[in-house]
Amino acid sequence: MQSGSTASALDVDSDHAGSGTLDNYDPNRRSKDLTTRRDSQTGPDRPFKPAQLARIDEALTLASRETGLLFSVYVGDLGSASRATAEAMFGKLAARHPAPVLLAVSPAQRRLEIVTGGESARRIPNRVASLAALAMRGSFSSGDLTGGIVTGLRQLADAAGVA
Amino acid sequence: MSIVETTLIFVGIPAAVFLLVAALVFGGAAARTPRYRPGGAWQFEPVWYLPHPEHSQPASSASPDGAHQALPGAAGRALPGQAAEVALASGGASGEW
Repeated sequence: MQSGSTASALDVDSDHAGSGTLDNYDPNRRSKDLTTRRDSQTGPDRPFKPAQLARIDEALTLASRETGLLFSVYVGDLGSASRATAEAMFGKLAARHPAPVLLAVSPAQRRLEIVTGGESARRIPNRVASLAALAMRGSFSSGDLTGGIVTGLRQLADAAGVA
Repeated sequence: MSIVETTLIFVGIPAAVFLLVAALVFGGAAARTPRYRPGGAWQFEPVWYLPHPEHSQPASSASPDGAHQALPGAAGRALPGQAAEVALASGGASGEW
């Protein structure tokens, strides 16, 4: 794992899921700009330990790089209408990238949503997404959030194929 | 050997080893970040992760950040400002655990 590199974390206001700092996302920002953010992304108030975050970052970046789709992982509250909230967040991603895939996990509600659309829906059929969701559910049931997320990302990326 | 020596050797040493192993097993960093258990409360702020920016550009489309400064990597790609269709959420899956 490259030192200092980590996924861009966008803090999302829990009342308005999706209204976070997605506007600051610059796909061409150099990796060194992210080193200062790493310290803010792990710690007792963050859900993932550094090793777990590194695994998620690696899976996310690898999946996006190989498939050309924009994979994104959200862990947090999804409200009572989790599917609608996840689709709204997907809409924010779709404004920035032609083919995003959103994995939304709400440990509080114990729900996970995989949202695809457009190009990503053509390359990842719903039955494949269901299989990935099943695998993720198995991991989450035993308390392994990181493993479930990484498994889901890998399955979806494998199904989507190389760009 | 006296009784004290016997006790120390045959009881104390195994007890010391036992306590050392127990400390290594239970005293680790796992105690600091509580492990997630299904059904437990989730007290963290929401986080939303995107992939590392350098290689996440799609192979075929224009850069979506037309409003920002000129992007060095986009020189050889499709014209910026090309109307790209916005994907609508149309598929995926849900799950509960």
